[in-house]
Amino acid sequence: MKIMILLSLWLLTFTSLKAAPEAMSIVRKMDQSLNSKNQVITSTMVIHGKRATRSIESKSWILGKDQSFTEYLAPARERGTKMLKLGDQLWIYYPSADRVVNISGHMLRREVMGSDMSYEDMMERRPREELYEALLEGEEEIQGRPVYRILLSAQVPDVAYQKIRLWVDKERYVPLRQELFAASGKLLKVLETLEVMQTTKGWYPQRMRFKDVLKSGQGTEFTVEELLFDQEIPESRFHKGQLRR
Amino acid sequence: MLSFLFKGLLRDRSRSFFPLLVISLGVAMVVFMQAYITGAVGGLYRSTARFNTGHVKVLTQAAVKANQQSPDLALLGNGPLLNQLEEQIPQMSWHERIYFGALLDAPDAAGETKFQATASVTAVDLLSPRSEVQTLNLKKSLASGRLPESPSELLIAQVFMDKMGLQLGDPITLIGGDVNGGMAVGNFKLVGTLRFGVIALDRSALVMELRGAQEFLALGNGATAIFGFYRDGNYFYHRPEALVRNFNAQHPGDSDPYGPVMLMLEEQDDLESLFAIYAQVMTYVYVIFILIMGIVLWNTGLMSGIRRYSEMGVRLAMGETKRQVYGTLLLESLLIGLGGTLIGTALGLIPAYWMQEVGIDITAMMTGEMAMLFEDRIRAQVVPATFVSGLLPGIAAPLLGALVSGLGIFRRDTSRLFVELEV
Repeated sequence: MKIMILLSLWLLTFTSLKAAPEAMSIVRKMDQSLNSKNQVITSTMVIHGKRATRSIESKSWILGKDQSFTEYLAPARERGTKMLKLGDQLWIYYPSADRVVNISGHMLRREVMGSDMSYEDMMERRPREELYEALLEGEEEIQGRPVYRILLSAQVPDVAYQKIRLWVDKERYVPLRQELFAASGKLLKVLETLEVMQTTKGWYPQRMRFKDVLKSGQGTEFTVEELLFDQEIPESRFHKGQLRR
Repeated sequence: MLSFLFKGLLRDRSRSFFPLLVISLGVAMVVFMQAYITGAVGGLYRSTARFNTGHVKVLTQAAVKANQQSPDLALLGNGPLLNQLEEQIPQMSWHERIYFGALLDAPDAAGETKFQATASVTAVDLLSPRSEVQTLNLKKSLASGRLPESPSELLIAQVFMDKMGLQLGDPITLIGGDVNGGMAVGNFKLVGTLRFGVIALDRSALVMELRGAQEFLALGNGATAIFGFYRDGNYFYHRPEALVRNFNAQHPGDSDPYGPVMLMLEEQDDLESLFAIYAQVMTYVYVIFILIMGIVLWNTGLMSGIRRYSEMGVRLAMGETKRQVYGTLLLESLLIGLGGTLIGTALGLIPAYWMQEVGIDITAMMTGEMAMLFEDRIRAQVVPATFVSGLLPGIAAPLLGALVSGLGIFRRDTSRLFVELEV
């Protein structure tokens, strides 16, 4: 009997030890297909507001996890607005007021252009394996695709969401659904991948729906129109002087 | 008979002076208390209406449902609606207002962010014939500078400006959300400071011209709300109920979530229950006060009757009937009560009028959430009811005292009167 109990305990320990690295390796593979040394993304954001639906086009230059520059191309009211992220600092240039405004602290939690995304959501480029501990909760099927269900728990204090539940495609390693939670366990946002695209690095979410569950409206759709990896981006692109140009 | 009793009261001051004094003072206190309570409830209505609710307020169905006022829930194309309101409800003045939250960003010399704070912005009409400068008492509230003369000028709470280290004439940038949820960014200039006497407003309030906010938020000729105020300035419980019902019947909200709906003051911010509780507490205070005063005045009547025990005995011994003696006792009491009430009402009206016109400054006592609800000055309000509020305690209480004390007259045996009187 004693042997049976010891065997069961050993099996349980072995299983849990085995689960952690497996979950983390899934997250690592997912990070690898989503991130690269640099990216240039042209995208369209469709915001389903309370009263109207707006479409905003933008182009972003991203270098590593600390530097990014975004320029809004349309509509006319937003055209010429530029955002520069350097580390944890964000500057926005508003052409209508000809002002460069620094967004920091709690202001980073505010929505971008009335969408369901916050500045924090936009700025976060760090691989998730550096920020979270992963636990494989199970395997399911979403949109007809087999997925891993993984729970991420924050290991560093400076993250926007303390827990994230991910549904990662088992073959493509692309997240098909994400639920973002506050420290209290309250669900804050849901991200759904509606379409995926193949890139030189693997699979990438081409069309996603962000839904801030605390807001009314039908959420924000984010579509990648063009995605280029490993481009030559001059350092000068990430200087504050670029904002007013 | 009356003049005989009156002369008796005047000549025998021991019969009239003390009861008259007590009744006058008691009635004066009741009159003052009535005016004070009316003023307190009126003050609550005034401050609530001025800043938050109007006497009535027109919003979109969506804003009522979401229980918030923001540009994306605003009433749009308000020209025809304002015309309709002015035509159908001429007893009220109508004013558009826009409430919104924004990020205030103050630039340094290089035009980059020096500091930021979140601001609560109220946009009101300051320049057109519908100007609210008077309604909001803005000229008196101006601590420094001047009122805006163009849509790009702003007033700021003095406390807020000091906290931010800003100066009059400084440019600031406001960043908010427009009618479609998009970014609204604009530069403005600070031209004056205000002291609200309301903590929450003093810490974050900006006031701007309506047209400036409409342009900034891409609202066209829209507003987050239309406030209605009775032109006579008076408000009492559920006064606009009928006209609100009539307006809402003309605008059923089932088809358009952004159609107008009118709410009266008590229907907003759960004020119905708050006002009900407040009025009830004040009524209890008033009733308890009247009861206490009634007991004091009744006691005065009793004392007066008992003190005159011997006199009654002599009058009975001299042949007056018990009914006659009792009748004169009651009549005297009525005369004293009436005189005391008149004097007391006059005495009570003096501090009541002073409290109405001048009031007591309680700014130092108003902190936290209380400051949002109450005015920074306690005022009384003299209304027609104030003039008659002393009648019941002033006349009925001493009369009741005389009625009870005088009953002893009927219990006295005429055959034993001389023994009682030790003649």
